[in-house]
Amino acid sequence: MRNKITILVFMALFQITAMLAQERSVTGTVTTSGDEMTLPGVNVLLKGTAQGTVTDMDGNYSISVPENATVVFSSIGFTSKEVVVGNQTQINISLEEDLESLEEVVVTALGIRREKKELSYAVQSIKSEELLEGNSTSMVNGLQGKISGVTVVNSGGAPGSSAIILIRGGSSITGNNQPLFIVDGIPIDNSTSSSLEVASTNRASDINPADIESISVLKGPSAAALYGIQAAEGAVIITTKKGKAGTSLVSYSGSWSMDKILGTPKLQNLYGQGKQVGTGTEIVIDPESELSWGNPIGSAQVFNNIEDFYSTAITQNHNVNYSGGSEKSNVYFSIGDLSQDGIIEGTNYEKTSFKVNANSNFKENLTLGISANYITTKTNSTKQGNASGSSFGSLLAYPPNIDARDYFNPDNSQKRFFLDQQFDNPYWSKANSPNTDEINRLLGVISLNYKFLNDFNLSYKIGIDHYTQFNKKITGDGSFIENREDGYISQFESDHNLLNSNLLLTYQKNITEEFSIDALLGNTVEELDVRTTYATGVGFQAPGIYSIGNVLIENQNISELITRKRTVGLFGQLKLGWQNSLFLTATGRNDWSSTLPADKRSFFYPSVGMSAVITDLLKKSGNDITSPNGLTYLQLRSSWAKVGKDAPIGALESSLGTNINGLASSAYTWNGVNVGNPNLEPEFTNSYEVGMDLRFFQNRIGLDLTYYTSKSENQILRDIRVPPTTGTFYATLNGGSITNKGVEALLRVKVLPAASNLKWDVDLNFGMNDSRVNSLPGFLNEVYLSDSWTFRNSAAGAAILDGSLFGLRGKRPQRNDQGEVIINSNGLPTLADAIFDDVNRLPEWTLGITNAVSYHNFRLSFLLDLVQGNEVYNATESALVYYGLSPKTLDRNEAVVLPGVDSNGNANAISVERNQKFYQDYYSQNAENFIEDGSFTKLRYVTLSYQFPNKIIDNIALSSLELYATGRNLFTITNYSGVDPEVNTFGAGIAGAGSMSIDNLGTPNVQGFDLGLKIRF
Amino acid sequence: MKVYKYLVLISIVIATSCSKDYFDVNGSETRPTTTSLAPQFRIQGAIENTTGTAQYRGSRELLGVTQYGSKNSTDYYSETWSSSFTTGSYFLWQNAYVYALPNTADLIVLGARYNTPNYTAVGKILRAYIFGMTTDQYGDIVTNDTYDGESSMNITPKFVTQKEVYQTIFELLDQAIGELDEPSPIGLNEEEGDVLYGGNQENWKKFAYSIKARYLNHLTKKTSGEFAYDPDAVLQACALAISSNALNAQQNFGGGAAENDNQPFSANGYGSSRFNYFSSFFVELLKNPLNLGTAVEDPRMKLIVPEAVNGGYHGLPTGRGLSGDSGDEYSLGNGGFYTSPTSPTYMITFSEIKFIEAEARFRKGDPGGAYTAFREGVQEDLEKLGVDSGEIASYLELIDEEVGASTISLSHIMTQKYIANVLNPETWVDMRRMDYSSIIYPGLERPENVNLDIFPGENDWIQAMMYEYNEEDRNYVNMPDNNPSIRLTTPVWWNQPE
Repeated sequence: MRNKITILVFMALFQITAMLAQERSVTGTVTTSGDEMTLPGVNVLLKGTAQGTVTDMDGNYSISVPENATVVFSSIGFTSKEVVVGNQTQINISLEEDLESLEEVVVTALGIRREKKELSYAVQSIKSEELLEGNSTSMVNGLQGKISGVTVVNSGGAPGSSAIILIRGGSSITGNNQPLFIVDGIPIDNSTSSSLEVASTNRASDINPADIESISVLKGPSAAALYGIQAAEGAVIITTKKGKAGTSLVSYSGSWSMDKILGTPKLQNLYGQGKQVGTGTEIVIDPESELSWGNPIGSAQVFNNIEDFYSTAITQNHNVNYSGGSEKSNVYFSIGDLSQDGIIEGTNYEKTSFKVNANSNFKENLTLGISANYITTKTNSTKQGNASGSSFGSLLAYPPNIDARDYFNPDNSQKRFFLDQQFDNPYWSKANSPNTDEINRLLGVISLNYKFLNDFNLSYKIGIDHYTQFNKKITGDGSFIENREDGYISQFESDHNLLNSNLLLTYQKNITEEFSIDALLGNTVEELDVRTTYATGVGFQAPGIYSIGNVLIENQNISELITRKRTVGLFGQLKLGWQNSLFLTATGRNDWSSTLPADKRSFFYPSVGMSAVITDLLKKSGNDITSPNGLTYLQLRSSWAKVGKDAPIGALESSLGTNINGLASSAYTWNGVNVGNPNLEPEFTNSYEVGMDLRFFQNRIGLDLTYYTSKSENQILRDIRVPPTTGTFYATLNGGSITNKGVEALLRVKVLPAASNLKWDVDLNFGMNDSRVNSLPGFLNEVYLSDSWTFRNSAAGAAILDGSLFGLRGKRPQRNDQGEVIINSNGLPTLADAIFDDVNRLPEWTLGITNAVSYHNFRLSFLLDLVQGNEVYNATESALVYYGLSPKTLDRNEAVVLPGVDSNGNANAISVERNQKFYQDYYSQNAENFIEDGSFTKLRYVTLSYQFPNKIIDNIALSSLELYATGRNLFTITNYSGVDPEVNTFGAGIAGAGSMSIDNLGTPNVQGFDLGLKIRF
Repeated sequence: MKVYKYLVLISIVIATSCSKDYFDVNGSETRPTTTSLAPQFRIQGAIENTTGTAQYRGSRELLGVTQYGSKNSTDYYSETWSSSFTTGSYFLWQNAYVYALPNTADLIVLGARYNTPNYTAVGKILRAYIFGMTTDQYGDIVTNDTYDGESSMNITPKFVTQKEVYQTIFELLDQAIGELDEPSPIGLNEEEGDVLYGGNQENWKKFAYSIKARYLNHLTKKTSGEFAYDPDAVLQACALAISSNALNAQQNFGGGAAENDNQPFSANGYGSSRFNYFSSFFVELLKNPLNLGTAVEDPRMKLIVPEAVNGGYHGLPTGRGLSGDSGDEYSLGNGGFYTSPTSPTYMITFSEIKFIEAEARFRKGDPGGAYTAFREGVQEDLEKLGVDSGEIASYLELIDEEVGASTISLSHIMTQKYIANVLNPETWVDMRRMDYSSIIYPGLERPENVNLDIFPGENDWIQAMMYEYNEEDRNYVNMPDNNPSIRLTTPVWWNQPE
C-alpha cells in the first residue's frame, strides 16, 4: 500500500518535473556504511561540474539538480559514490570507508581533524573495532601491540590491575612518564594509587572501551605541543561515540569470559617444613618454622599450595547503547556493566558506566554539545607484594608438606601450623582481611561551537573530571601479624576535582588556488583540587566491624592532604599549505603554572614542522613517479618541538612533621622528607623527528617510518636521595638529563587483492627505543624510588647514570679493580648496594603483528606480540629461594667454592656449604642471581567472529548480529623462568624509573576464553 | 570588527586568570612549613631533636667504644670496631645533618625574620653543640654547605677541616652570647617550647659558656698557634658556665605511653635493646673508683647499675657477648639512674664543668685549685644522683684522704668525669685525648674479639668514625678518604699535636 502511494507520488512528481523541465531540489543524509555515523563535510557535486554543496554537521544536504543529473558524493577517507538522481527527491546514502585511501584523516591535538598528509609528526589512530578486538576490558590494554612505539605493560592478574603505557620510552627520572589522556577534548586523570599493598587501577581504565569511537595517539612532543605542560610524554586522544542523525539504533554487545592463571612458579616438594639452626656440622633442623628447609618429606603427602590457591574466574561484560538524532540534534546513550571475578576467589572488579552525549544545532552556526559519563567501580582485592598479609607472600610460607587450606580451628579461629606463626593464612586473609576500593566518577563536558564570518570558528569547552575514592585495607581481628592481632585498618577518602576550560578560535582560508592558511589561537585554564583524608587504626573494639570508629581514639591516626594546582595556557598555531601538498606548521605556547615560583611561573615554547607529499609535488611539476605496480604515495615530514613542564604540586616549600620517629620531638620539626625547593625552574624537552609515509601497489602496502630523538634537560627531580650533609634525605631540584632515541615503523599489508573474497590484512607495529640517563645532578650515579624495593630489599628500579632510565640497582658482590669478585675469609663475598649499568627493564624493541583474515561473513583476527631485549628482575624467585621452595635449593647442603679472589688477588679456594644461611643471606640477596632475559613472544588473542547474513537477521527483526569467540594470552614463548615476563607488581603508580619488569610476589597473569555477541536493532 | 571583539574577550579571560592571587594555591594547607611557623613553635623541636635524634645516635654506638655497656652477642660491631663501623653504617651522620641541624638553621633564619635575636641565639648554640659532637666523632665535616634555611639545597657540600669547625663553633657561641643580650619581642618560652631553660636567657648564656669551656678544653694537645691550649681561657669560660645542678642542660622524659616520652635507653625507649648489659670495665671501675689497694665501692654504683637477676653487680666484658652464659648472671643495661623511662639525657652538667676546670687548673700547675674543682665535681654528681648526704660526706672524706691537693692526678679527674658522664658522647673525646691510657682509666683494655684486620697492634684503638655510606655514594668527591683502615685509625685534629 505504502509503496503504491510512493509510486503515485513519484509519478506525479515526474510529470511535474517533466513539464517544468527545470531544476529541482534533492535532499538527504549521508552516513557511513557499517556503523551509520552521519558524515559532515561530504562534497555533493553534480557530476562533471563544480556545482554542488557539502553536508552539514549532521550529514544533511540539499542540492538543486537538473534533469537526468548524476550526483557524486565524495569525502576524504571514503570511496566516492555516484547516484543517478532520476526522479528521486530524497537520497540517503551511505559511503564506504576507503581503507586504501591516501587521504587519511586523523584527530590531532585539541581534537582538530587533519589530513594525515598535512602532519609533520607521527600520529597513529585506531578505531573502535580494532580497540575492542581481543576483548580487553581496559582501554589501555586494548592498545597493546597495536600502536608502534607504544609500550603497554600489565601489572599482573588481579582484577582491575593497572597497566603502564609508555610512548617512546620516558623522559622523566622522578615524574610521571605516562601520556596525557584526553577525552573529547578535555584532559582526564590517569593517576594510579599505590600498588604496594593491593593492585590498583589506573584511572584511564574507567572509560568504557565500548563508548570509544577512535583513539589517536600523539607520539611525541611535536604532536602534542599544543597541550603544553603534560605533552612531553605524548597524548592519547579519545573520541567517544556520538548519535547519528536520521537513525535510531540500539546496539547490545556482551561477552562471557573464563580466566585461569597463566601458571605458577615451579616448586620443590622433596623437603618439608623446618629451619636449619646452628652452623657447619652442628646444623640441626627445627621443624617449628614457615621455611621449607626441613627434612626430606619422603612418602608423606605433598601439596602445591600456590596452584591450589587460584581458581577459574568468570567475567561478564554487557553494553547497551542507543544512538539517534534528527537534523537539529543527536544523542548517544550507553550503559556498560563489567563484572570481573579474580582468579583468587572473592576478588573482583566491577564497573558500571552511564554515558550521554548530546549535540544540538540550536541556532544557525551555533552548536551546543553536552556529554556526561558517570562511572562507578568497585574492587575487592587481596594484599600482594611485600605487604603484611600478601597472599602470594604467605603462600610461600606454607612448606610442601603442609596444606594451606587447613586453616581454621573448630572454634572458627585461625589455625597456626607452627608455634611462632606471625603471618596470616592466605585463605583466612581472603575471608577476614578485605581490601576494597570504590570510585564514583563523573566526567562532564559542555561545548559550544560558533561559526562566523565564513572562515572563523570559535569553540569553547568546559569539562570536569570529578571523582571520589573510598579505599579501605583491613587486617581482620584474629590476625597473627605482630601488633595487628586485634586487627588493623588503613583507609583513605579522596575527593578529586579537575576543571578544564578551553577556548579556541580558528581561521581557515584558501587564500589563492595554491595557498591555504590555517590559524588557531587558544586559551586553556585548568584547575586541580584534590583533598584526601587518611586514617589508620590499630585494634578493633567490636570484632568484625571494620570501621575507623571501632578503634580506640588513642590508636587512631588521621591526616589530611590538600593539593591544588592552577595552570593557564595561551597558544597559537599557524599552518601554511601550498598546492595541498606542502605544509609548514608552527606553534607556540605560553604557560603559567601555580606550581612554580612567581618569577618562573611563565614559560614559552615553540614547535615547527614541515610535511611534503613528494608524489603530488612531482606530479604537479610533471614528473609523476607513481605507478599502479610501484610507488603510490610518498610523504616526507620533519618537525622540531620544545615543550615545557612545570613542577609537582607543593614542591616549593618544606613542610614540618611531628613525632617523625620514636626518638624525635613531638613538636613540629624539619622531617627531611617533605623537602621543597623555592627556586625550581620549568624543565624543557627538545625533540626532533623525521618520518616518511610510503605506499605501494595502489595502497596495498603502506609503510610509515619515524626516527626521533628527544632530550629532556634540567629536569625537576622530586624526592631524590642526596648526601645527608645536604640536610635532607630527599631533595627537590633541577638537574639531570634524559635522551630518547628510537625508530617506529608501521607496515600495513593487504595480502590479497581488493577483488578477492578472501581478505587478509596484516599490520606490523614496530618500535625501538633507548631511554638513557645522560647526567644526574651532583655526584649521583643513580636515582631510585624506594617504592619498588623488592623482597628483602635485594633490588629496586632505578635510573642509572650513563645507563637506562629504566634500570636497576641492587645488592651485588663487591669486586676489585679487575672486576673479580672479592671473597672474604668466610668463603662469601660482601654484598653491597650497587648499580647495574647494563640492565634495561624496557624492551629494546617491540613488534605487534595483527592479522585479520575475512571470508564472507567470517573473520579471524589475532595479535602476535614480540617484546625483545628487556631484563626482568625475578624477586619472586628470590623469595622462593629464601623460603627453600625453589627447585634451585635442591642442591642444598652441597659444598661449593664460589668463583672469585681473596683480598690478595689469589683464586678463592674456600668452600662453603649451600645451606639455608647460604641461600638466605647470600644467594637470595644477591640481585645478580635474579636478573633474567624477559624477551617474549605472545599470542595475545585470537578472535573468530561470524556476522549473520542479512537474510537471516531480517527475519528476526535485527539489523545485524555477530557472534565471536576469543582466546586471550594463548601462549608465550620466553626463556624467563617465572610465570610471565610481562609483569609490574608495583603497578603504574610508581613514577619515574617505575617498576616495569619487576616480578615481586604479585598475582600472576591470566589467560582466558571469551564468547561474545553483538546485536543491532 | 567582530574578530577584535573576540580577541578582547580572550584577553580578558587570560588577564583575569593570570592575576597573582589566582596562582597562589601551591602552599601547604594541612601542615606548617619552614617559613610559615613562627620561631616560638620551633624551639622545642630544635632542642629535642638535638638530644633525641643526634645525641642518642652519637652515644648509642659509643656504648661499646666507651665501654659503658656490652651487647649480648659476640663480636658486636660497635664493640669490636667491625662490620657496620667499617662499612659506614653508623648513622650519627644522618641524624645530625637531617634530623637535628636543619631545625637550628630554621631558628636562626626565623630569628632574623621575626626580629627575635634570642631565637637566633638558641639556633646557634644548638648548632654549635651538634657541629661539635659530630666533628669530634668524624673529624672533617660539612658546616657551611649544609642546609641553612635560605640557600638552595647543595647536594655536593664541601667538607671543612676540624680546625675550621672549631672556629665556627666558637664564633657561633660568641655571637649567640651577644644576641641573648639583645631585646626580643617574643620570649623563648612563649609557647612553652624552651624545654631546657624555661625562657631564662641568662641560663642559655651559661649553657653557651659551658659548651665553650668543653671545646676549649679539647685542645689540650695543641701547644702552639691560634688554637693552642689556653687553660686561662678555659677557666674564664668555666666561670661563666653552668653553676649548679639545677642548670644542667638536660632533656627530661615523662615516661608516658609514647616512645619519645621515654629515655631512649630505658626499657620502653627507642633504643632499649641497644643497652643489654653494663660492661665489666665500668662495673669494676665503680667497685674501686679510686683504684685503692682495698677497694671502696662508689656510692653511685647501685644507683646506676641494676643488680643481676642471680644477684650481685656484674658487668659483661665488652666484645665477648654472653657466649653461652646466662644473662641472669649480669647487670642489665635498662633500669638504672641513666636508663630508666624518666632518666634525662644530659647534654652538659655542672659536674662536667667542674672537671673541666679541674683539668685546666691541673695543667696550669695549680693542683690545689684542681683538687677543689675536682672535689666539687664529684660532690655535684653525687647530688645529681640523689646519693644520701651521709654517704656523700663519707665519700668526700675518703677522697680528701686518698687524693687531696697533693696527690691529685689526671687519672682521678678523668675517672670521676667518666663516671659522671655516663652515656655522654663527650666521654669518647676524653678517652681519645687520654690515649685510652690504662694509667688514666685503670683497668681499661681493648675489647675482646677486636677487629685485628684494622687494629692489629695492642695499642691500636679506634680514633674516628667512618663517614656514612650514603655520603660516600653521593658526595665521594668532597669527602676525605673513607678507607676504614685510615678513617678508623687516624686521630682527629685535636688529638694530634699542631
